[in-house]
Amino acid sequence: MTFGGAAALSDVGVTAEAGAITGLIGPNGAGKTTLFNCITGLLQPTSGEILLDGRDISSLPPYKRSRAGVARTFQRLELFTSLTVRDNIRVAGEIRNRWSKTRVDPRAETDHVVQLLGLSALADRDVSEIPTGMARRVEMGRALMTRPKILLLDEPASGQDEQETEEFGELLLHLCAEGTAILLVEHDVSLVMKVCSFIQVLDFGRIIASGAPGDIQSNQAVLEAYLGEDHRA
Amino acid sequence: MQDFLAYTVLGLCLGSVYAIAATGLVVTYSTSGVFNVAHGAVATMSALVYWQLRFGWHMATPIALVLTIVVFAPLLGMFLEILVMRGLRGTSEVTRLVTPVAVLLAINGAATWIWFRKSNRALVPQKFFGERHINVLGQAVYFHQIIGVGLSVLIAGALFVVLYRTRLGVTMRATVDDRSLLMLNGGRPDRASLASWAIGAALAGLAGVLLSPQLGALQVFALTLLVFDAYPAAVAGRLRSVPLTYVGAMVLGLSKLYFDWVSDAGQRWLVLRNLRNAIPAVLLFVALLLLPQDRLRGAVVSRTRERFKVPTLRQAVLWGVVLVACVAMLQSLMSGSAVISLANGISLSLLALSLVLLTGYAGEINLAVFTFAGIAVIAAWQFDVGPTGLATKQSLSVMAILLAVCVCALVGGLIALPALRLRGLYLGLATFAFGIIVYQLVILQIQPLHFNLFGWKFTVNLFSTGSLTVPRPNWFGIDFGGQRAFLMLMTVMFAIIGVGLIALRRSAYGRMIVAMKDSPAACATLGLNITRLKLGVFMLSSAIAGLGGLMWAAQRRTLPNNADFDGFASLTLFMIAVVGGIGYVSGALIAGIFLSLLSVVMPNIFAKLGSDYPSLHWLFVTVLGNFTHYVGPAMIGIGLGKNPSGIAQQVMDGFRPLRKAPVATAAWVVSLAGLWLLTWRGVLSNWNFALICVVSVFLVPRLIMSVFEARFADEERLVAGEDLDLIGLERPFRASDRQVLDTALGLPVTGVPHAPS
Amino acid sequence: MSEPLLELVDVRAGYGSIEVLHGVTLTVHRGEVLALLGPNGGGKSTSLNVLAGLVDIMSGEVRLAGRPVTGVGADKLARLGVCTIPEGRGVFPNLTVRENLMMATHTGAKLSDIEAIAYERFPRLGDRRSQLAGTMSGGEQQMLAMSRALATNPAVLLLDELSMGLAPLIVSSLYEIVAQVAETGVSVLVVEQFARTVLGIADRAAIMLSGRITRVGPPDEIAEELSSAYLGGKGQP
Repeated sequence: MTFGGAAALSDVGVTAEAGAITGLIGPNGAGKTTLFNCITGLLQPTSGEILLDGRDISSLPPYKRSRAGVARTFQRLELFTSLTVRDNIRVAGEIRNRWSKTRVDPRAETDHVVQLLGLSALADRDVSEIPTGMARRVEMGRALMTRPKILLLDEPASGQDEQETEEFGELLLHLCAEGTAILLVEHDVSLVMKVCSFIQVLDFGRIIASGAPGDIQSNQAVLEAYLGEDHRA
Repeated sequence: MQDFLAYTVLGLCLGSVYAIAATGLVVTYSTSGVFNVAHGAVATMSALVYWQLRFGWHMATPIALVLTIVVFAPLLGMFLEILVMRGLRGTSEVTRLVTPVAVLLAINGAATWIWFRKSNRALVPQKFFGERHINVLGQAVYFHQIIGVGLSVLIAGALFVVLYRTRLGVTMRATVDDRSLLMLNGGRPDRASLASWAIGAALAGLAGVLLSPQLGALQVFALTLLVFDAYPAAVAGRLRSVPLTYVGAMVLGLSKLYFDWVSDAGQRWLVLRNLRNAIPAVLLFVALLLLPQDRLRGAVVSRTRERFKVPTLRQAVLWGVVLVACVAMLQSLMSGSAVISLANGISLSLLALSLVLLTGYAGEINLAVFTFAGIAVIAAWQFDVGPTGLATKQSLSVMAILLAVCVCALVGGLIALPALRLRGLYLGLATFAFGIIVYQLVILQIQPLHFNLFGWKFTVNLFSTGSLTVPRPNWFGIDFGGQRAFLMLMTVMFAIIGVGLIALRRSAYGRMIVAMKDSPAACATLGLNITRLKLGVFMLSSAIAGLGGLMWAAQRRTLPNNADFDGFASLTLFMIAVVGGIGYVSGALIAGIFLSLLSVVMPNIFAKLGSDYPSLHWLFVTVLGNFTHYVGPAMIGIGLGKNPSGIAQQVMDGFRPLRKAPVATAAWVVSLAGLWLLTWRGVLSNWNFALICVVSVFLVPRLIMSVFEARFADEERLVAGEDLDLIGLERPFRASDRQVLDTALGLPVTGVPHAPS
Repeated sequence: MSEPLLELVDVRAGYGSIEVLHGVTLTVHRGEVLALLGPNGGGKSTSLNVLAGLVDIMSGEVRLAGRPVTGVGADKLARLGVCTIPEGRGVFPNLTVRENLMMATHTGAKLSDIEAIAYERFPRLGDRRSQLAGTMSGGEQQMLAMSRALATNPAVLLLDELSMGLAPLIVSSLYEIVAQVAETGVSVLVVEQFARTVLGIADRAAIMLSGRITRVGPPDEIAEELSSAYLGGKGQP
């Protein structure tokens, strides 16, 4: 998959399996967000294809890809700043109701998601007032309301403290146990190592390594390219 | 062939002057990031100043020219930059569009006040070197035009050197790229912006002087529109590239002259004779549509200064009832002329409601609201009156209204098309261009249009008689022909649509609209079909504009075809609606009343004061009366940068204390009602009643605030166990908070480290 | 080494009505490299922006070489020798490399001299002198930002997340240059997520949490605290 003139990504093959968390790590600027934009259709790759359950969704506009089951969060938050935390999540359910055959009660579903993500205390605040870590959870809640087949998470733990990250990891495991495929881009390597069953390392728009967490941890190329000289620490 | 070449030469001459005008826009935009909608007004003002110096005071041409272009115009540009444009940082696109619009209207208002206050003076502009010319291929090319071409070439060269070869020019470009980075590098963005505004204004001034002889006599808005014609050239250069701007300007100049050539200077195809004036708008529209499509954008500014709150449905209904009751009570006290002013205001408020939905909720822009009024009137009129040409009906029928509203909705879908690709400024320009096109080709169409469709012949009269008569409704046996009855009808309509809008905003659909405004990218990744939603919002908003427009026309009864359709009225309404508080239904109400108040009522009040106190006549009538009449509305718009959420928000904030003191508030309302009763019975004079109302509106909230202050402060005290990260978000951070924080962080707690602010 | 060059004294600052720094006291001494560390949202960048003159303070004082400079604008401070490379955007994307370097000529230095030094230090920039800075890679942009900063002969260098988006190799070569510059007597304040890379070149380090400085000390002591205090499972493994 290449993009634009200056290839931000070249020949990247990424696979995410249902019911598993796939980690995607690499230094900032390695092309992770570009990859997400290509998968969700916000950017058009110059070549390559995106398959969801074997169906080619490369030519679909973003909203149809979402309806096909792709949901995401944004590294640079894209919350609806005029709405409260609850309404941010609720509107996603309402959008879903507009096209989905299985109607849900957005209100009840929202309450459920708010609870699941531990946002109850903040539910009626404006999203522009809550801390970044919590805002990331709101984005995740919004994505969950679409009942995705695959969830793309772009640095969901940044801004969350240690304990929150811990809970968040549990939540991810719970979600994937329910059958959702999760593609996780994250800087917090220990979280990635803990929850992912498979990890791919991206650098300068290329996959430089992939494998189980244990393999990645001992892969010399990864240590040099990504973790830098201080990987022993 | 010879004609063709001759017209080509003339087209290039015209293009050169357009290039100067458009380049001024490009310089300002590419170096300060603000699209100076007021560019045309600066040109107008300069042309008038030049006329005054050269022909009014008989100075020598070079001196008058230097004083205008090198002294006056740059000073005006710098003045605008310092006073207005600096306040726009960190505001939304809408605010950054509206403020320059306000500047435009203020400058034009001032120009009208200075030069055209008395009667219809004819200021006749002349070309440089008068009528001296050379003959090129049988066509006269005036020295004036040759000078224009020469200056145009000179300016292109000079700009290139300044922008790309000097530190000042590079600093100017760096300012737009990253203002704070420039400061971190010791650059002075304020000076760079000043320079760019000075250059831009000088170019505007020059273009104004060069273009003005095209008009037989100088007229403020005609001159401004003449400079507007150059805007498509700037858009062709994507507001950044000077060379492309020149290409665009030449295309523009040539298309106008080629049209002259093929239409035999307007003698052929009478039906299309206004097309020449519409060419720039058509080209602008096309140029905007050909702009490369924006990538689906994310949130533009993470934290703009505008915040809008939404009332609950119950509150909305309550306020709707209060509004109807208040208007009913007030009109019973008011004189006939005052009722007309109020009704004018409410009719404008109805029109402004369409903007609350479109701009306030959905963040889209429509600078052609009055165009929809015009379309609605034409549609209803065709239906109700038919081709007989005279208003024969006594009532505006419901069917006609429905038809007009449907037509408007369809046309609204049409202008949603550019909205699918454009946003902010570009969308504003596209809708403005649409307004001009409809104005020139439909509303100014006084030729009957004869159609022959498959043998079915019919004639459509648009504004054949120059004006249309719109009857007021007569429904359910109630005649709304009288002013007071019609006022109440419009008020009830306003309340119903207003409550409807709030209900919409609180519904799932409303949340989607707002979500789309905040982040289209996020909406798309949640499965929302943005195209459809935008289309729907535009259609609904246009339908409201159509209904409002019909009421506005019925309020005026007779609508001449030059009434408010040339774009400036739409600009004014849009501006005032934003000032009133575009995110609020009450903002629309404030906007309409304000517009009617400022242009008519305030000057009348000053006139009354002037006659009451003859010694102060000069102050009241000449200064204050004229000021509020000519530049008042615009001045309010200019102040928007300081309070971007609008007046409605301010009013609500002002009255917030009342909620905490219900008894005192009730007492206040009851006593006002009592006073109304006394006035109604004639015990109290209208003036005194109005005075007491106005004064108490300002005083009571403050009084309540000061009395109950201590109690309010108690309620805001820190709640123990609050999340540390959240301290200071909802209320100011206090010294006591720091002690809590330091304890949690394990730092030694020092007494009171700083005085509470 | 002990002479304070740039100081924050009990500074409270924030954005709009929201206070981010709740009384911060921090001193950068002449010729030292001070690393300011801590989790996101703790106020590190805000502190740096206060020092650079981009954020106005609500109370407290900012001093440069002992003189109060509270409320002095960023452009003036830059001309006084406080040079900042802000987070992630150290270049003007729509200006060419050459024009970017031109922005450093306010000191009176000649553009040709600045160019010569910059291209000698980073030959890759020399090949791209007429290219728009925004079209270059992140590493090249940061090289350009660094060249421009050094061309002004600053007294203080403020660096915000220099490593963001860069390959570790480039990061370490940039920090080598920072260390060299510090040798010549320039004071440096570094805000950085790659804590350990910076701690290698820092003379002192400070930890910032929730808008307060909680700890200042030698790098090795701070390094221990970092892992226990807040990094834990975060940041560097």
